[in-house]
Amino acid sequence: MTYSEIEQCIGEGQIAKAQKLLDEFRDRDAEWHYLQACVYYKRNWLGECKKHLEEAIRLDGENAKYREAYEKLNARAEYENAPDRETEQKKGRMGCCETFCYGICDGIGSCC
Amino acid sequence: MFGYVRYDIPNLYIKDFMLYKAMYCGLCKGIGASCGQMARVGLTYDVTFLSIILHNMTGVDIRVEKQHCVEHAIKKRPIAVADDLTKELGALNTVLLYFKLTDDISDGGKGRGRRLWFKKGYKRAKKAYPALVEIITRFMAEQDRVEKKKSASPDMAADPTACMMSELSDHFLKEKASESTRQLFYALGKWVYLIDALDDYEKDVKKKNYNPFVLSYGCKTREELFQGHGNDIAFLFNTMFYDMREGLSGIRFHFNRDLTDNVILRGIPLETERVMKGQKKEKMEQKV
Repeated sequence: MTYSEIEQCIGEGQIAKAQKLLDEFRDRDAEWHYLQACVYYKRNWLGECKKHLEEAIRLDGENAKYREAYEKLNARAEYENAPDRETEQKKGRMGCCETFCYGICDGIGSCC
Repeated sequence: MFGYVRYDIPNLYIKDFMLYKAMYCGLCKGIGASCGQMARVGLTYDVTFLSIILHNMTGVDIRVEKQHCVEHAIKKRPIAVADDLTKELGALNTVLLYFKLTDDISDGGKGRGRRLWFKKGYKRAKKAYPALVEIITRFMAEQDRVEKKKSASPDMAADPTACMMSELSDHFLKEKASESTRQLFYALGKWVYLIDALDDYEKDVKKKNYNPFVLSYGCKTREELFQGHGNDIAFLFNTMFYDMREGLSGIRFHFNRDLTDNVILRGIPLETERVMKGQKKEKMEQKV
């Protein structure tokens, strides 16, 4: 089993299968944590996603893909207290790909 | 798990305050109609909010009439007429409360007498709304399973309640359901579960009850928790606010949405701030 199989599952939206494959790995390196973060992101478990991205960065601090994904994840938590409606409408809808997945899903395939 | 979904009164228009009160009383009547008079004492702010937002999203207009009620027997009050949606939400109110009391009992707490009070209402709801009760029963069983597994992840622990809210929104919205409505209701369900867990932090440490924040961070006090892990907790709640805001921006509302925006964009963050500061829960202001 390779990471590319897991990437393919994530790209195709087969999240349960991707998780099952990830669970079978014994050696969990930076890429494993990154892919686990992708799975949690898809499940909207962003607290868990953040933990695994931090672990991926701890294991491989040079990897630009992990750092970019981490920055984009944190952007998703930027919340201005009690924003007014006008601001809401001006901002419009920020889709998944505009925030996190650009970094995390590059090379994985279409995710949204 | 009840009583956290509140409005922010300084930013609430008088018209919306009047509407809220009429919907609150209307839901009380709806509970009476679907589950009997005894179940009315279980009326919650949370399901009142659901009634307001679901009427708006489904485009079911509200008719407000001056009526008497048990609590206000002498002077008539403006009350939203209990339509079919309100009656079903009345059943939801009773069933959720029944399950909450069942959970309290299984945790070794008191509540048998209170649960007995709602048993007849629960049975009526089950008979009249089997699809609704099936959704709640299924996800509450899943919630119980996750809690028995003692999951240390707040994300995982809140998932069954969040998924239940998302599926309930599909059930009520039918063809008007969308990815945006599911996103909003998932985040609302997750928030309700986690804010309750955070509010009960010290109580659960003392009583050794299941609490994902206690298992995840292991701190003895709330103060210690926020000193050491405040950023992670703020991150978690901010992602929920983000999803609520994003969900809202993709939803078509049929009527004025000032009231629901007040609750989601102001009331919920304020309540979160209160819990994070460790302040006591106060009675929601009912007069201006």
